[in-house]
Formats: sequence, C-alpha cells, structure tokens
Amino acid sequence: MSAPLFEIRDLHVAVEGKEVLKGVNLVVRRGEVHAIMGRNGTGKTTLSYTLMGHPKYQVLSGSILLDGEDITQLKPEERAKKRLFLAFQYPVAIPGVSVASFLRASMKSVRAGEIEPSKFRSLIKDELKHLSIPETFMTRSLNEGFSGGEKKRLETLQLRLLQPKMAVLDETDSGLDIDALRIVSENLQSFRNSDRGMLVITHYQRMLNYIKPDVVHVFGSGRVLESGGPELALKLEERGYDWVEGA
Amino acid sequence: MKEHQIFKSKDAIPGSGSRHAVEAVAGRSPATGVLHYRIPNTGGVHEIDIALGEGARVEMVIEQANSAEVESLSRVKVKAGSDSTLKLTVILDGGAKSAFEIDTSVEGRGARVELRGLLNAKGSQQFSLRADAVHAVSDTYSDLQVWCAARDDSRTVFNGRIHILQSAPRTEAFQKNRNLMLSKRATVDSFPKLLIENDEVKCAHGSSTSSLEPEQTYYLQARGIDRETAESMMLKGFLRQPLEWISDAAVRGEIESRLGVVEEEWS
Ligand SMILES: Nc1ncnc2c1ncn2[C@@H]1O[C@H](COP(=O)(O)OP(=O)(O)O)[C@@H](O)[C@H]1O
Ligand SMILES: [Mg+2]
Repeated sequence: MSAPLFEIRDLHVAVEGKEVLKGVNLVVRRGEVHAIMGRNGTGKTTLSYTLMGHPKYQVLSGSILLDGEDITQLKPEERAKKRLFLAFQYPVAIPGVSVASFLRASMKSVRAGEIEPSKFRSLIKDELKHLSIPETFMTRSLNEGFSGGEKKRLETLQLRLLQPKMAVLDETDSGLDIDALRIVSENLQSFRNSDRGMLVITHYQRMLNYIKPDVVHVFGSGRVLESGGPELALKLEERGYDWVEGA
Repeated sequence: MKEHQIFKSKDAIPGSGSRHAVEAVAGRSPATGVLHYRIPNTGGVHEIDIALGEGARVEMVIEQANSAEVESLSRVKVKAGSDSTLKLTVILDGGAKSAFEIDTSVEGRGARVELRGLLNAKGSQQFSLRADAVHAVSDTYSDLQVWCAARDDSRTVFNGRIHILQSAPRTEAFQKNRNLMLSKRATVDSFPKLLIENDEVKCAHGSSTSSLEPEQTYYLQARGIDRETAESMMLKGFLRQPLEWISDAAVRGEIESRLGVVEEEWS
C-alpha cells in the first residue's frame, strides 16, 4: 500500500517557551476530508502554523509527512511548493502589495513549469467569478481594509489557484455570512477529489454540511482527544465539549 | 541632546541653491495632471514658495533625486488661503545629505493641506524632514503622513509639529510617521509634536518604527514565495504607499520606476 497523503506523528510543539501541542497524531489518506473541532485556545492554530512551518513554533519532537516525505524541517515556501496549503484564520495585510502581484508571485513560484505566466490572468479571472470577488480587488493592497468575509474568500481563491494536494483550513468559515459561507463552502467542496486531502478546522457544523468530512477529530489540550465519523460533529454541536474532555 | 535635523539653518551647505515659486489662483492647477518639481541638482539651499489664493486647488510633487555626493537643504513655505486645497508629495531619494523643511501656514478659513512624505535612505545617506503646520483660523484641516525607510548605514529624522492657535476652532489636524528600519546599523529618529491652544479641535498623531514584519514574511512564504523575494515585495510595498495617492499616473509611474517599485499592471 502506498504511503498516506499526510501524516502527523506524535507532534510536540512549543511557542514562546510553552508546550502547546502535546503529541498530535493524525493520518489523512488521499481523497479524505478530516475535520478538527475544539474549544478556543486548545492549539488548533498552533497546529496549522506548525504544519506550514511558522518559525515561531518550535517542533520539540515528532514529524510531519507529506506523501511519505518528512517535511518537518522544510521552510514554509518549500512546503507550499510541495503542494501543502494553509488557509489562515487571520490572513495578514501587506500594505502596498497588490492582490494581483501577490497572486502572480505566488503562482509563479508554486505552479512554475505547469502553466505559462501569461495564463495566470485568465485563470485568476475565472476563479474570481466563482467566488464572487469583484475584479477591483486585484489592484487593492493585500488584505488591507478587507472585511473578515472578504479575507476568507481570498484565502479560498488562493487555494483554488495554487491547487494543493493537501489543504489545511483554519476556521475558514468564521466571519462569513450565510451567502459567503455557501459560496466558499461550494468552492471548497468542488475542489475536493480523490487525490486531494483536506483538514478543516471549524467550530461549526454549518460548513461541514457542504463539505462532508470522512473523519471528525475533537481537539483539546494540544492533542486529538477523540475521533469518529461525521456524526461526532453533530454530537459536539448538541452536547458541547465537556463530555469528551471529561472522558 | 539629540540632533534633530541633518542640517541646521546656520550651516553652510556647499552649492549654489535656487528659488522657485508657485502661485495659484482659484480653480485647479495645473488644469490636468500634477505639478512635478525636481530640486535642482546643484547642492546648497533651495527655497520653494507655494501660495494658494482663495479657492485654489493644487496638486504638487517635489522630488529630491540628487546625484550621490550632493548635499542640500530645501525650504518649502506654504500659505493656504480660504477654501484652498493642497495635495503635496515630497520624496527624498538621492544625495549624500538632504534636509527638507516644510512650514505650512493654514491661514484661510476652510483651507485643507495634505502632505505625504517619503524618505528612502540607503548606503550612508542622511535625510531629515521637518514639517510644521500652524493653524491660525477656524475650520481648517491638515494631514501629514511620512514614511521613512532606512537601509544599510543610513539615517532618517522626522520632526513634525502641529500648532493650533486659539483662533482656530473646529480644526482637524493629523500626523502620522511610519519608519522601517532595515539594518541594525541604520538610525531612525522621530519627533512628533502637538501644540493645541483651542479645545474645539480634532487631532491625532502617531509614530511607529519597526523592521519588516515576520508575520507578513511568513504569510508570503506560506504562499511559496522565498524569503528574499518576500522581503523585497514588502519593502516595495512600503515605498509605494506614499505614492499611491498621486493622481497623475504618468508622474506616479515615473517616480515608481526610479525608485524601482513598479508593479505589473493588472488590466
Ligand atoms: N504566537 C504565540 N505566542 C504566544 N502564545 C501563543 C502563540 N500562539 C499560540 N499561543 C498560545 O497557544 C495556545 C493555543 O492557541 P491557538 O493555537 O491559537 O488555539 P486555537 O486556534 O485552538 O484557538 C494559547 O494558550 C495561546 O495563547
Ligand atoms: Mg485558532
């Protein structure tokens, strides 16, 4: 059998000298969508930052494997080029850098050799339409003065343009109104295929109605406390986290 | 005591200097585009007088793009009459040492003066900008925003002062200074001041100094952009900000290309 698409092995991570992740284990196979649910402050963003190689998050032990290859020590840009993607919970604003030039630079780096840079523009235009993002956004500074929902649409746009094989979505549904939630979720769902994997971090069932997860994990105290099928998400929504954490 | 300016008024500055005057009457000047003035590359002291009559609307860009060894002091005097509007962009980019002084007298009711400054220092360049705005009458507005980038062994100094006289109620005055320090050997100084003699005014000032933001670098890297490229994009982004509001695309393009911060067009 071939290696799983994505694997996290006994991952321990410290930030600012404090151990936040305390032994995370997770295996995502090709085509699978996994959801992670958990209270605020349990380390979900720490996990997603670490997966993408944030320099502030120090891996104490354990490893991250993409397609069987250990990527734990790689720089963020190298992980991106290996087709790992993180949709940020809080996308960063960069004044003076236009969305268009950012997207071009990013696509040039990640999808070089696969598509001609001259095709970028029409590709971007198509995806803008899918996500109902006005073209005027292209000349604005990246994420500057964008509403929460606009930022999340733009994260989704980047995911679709960069075509990752493994995507980590950190609360991509928070800050979205009902229409935006539908648009973003549909775009994520249609991105799903038998080769790709997704790790969806969320507080709510509502996005999971569109993107049915194969596996749901409950996160607490820096590790996976419980895993189950889609019914686990419904149970959490009904009964909260106490019953898992108390177990 | 810290030295607050690269040159003092009493300093002897080598070079021949120059004088330049702009006198604007009611209406927009220039009728299309913007006034684009370059400080002559002669060194010495340069005097620039900008007088806005009642209802005059002026947009002007002053560039100091001297060659490497030149030292200069530029003194800009602005008089803003009733209901006049000035949009002034000042760019300090060339020369060895360069000081810029802008004294604005907001002396007509309803006058609005907006300034954007960019000090782009590298190598061993030393740049200072002193901007004083005096609000003498009611219902006036001024907004000063200055970006300083200091690389290598360079130095930038910003002195900003807003003075609102008792005779100027309902004045709004703002001042903002952002500094980007790109090397441990660079020096960045900032001295923003407010002097307010009337209670019925709206004022704000702020100054921040930082190096390139690691969270921004990480975000770009997470999108596959290597660190060096990311940092160069961020620096360009910083330098572009004070230029964005220049309404004449040709002038803006010319300056962007000289500063090396041109972005590919979208459409
Ligand atoms: N950059 C950081 N600096 C200091 N503490 C951090 C940092 N990032 C996360 N933490 C801490 O780690 C814990 C988990 O935070 P986070 O991963 O953001 O949780 P979640 O995403 O589940 O809400 C919190 O106690 C938080 O304060
Ligand atoms: Mg979080």
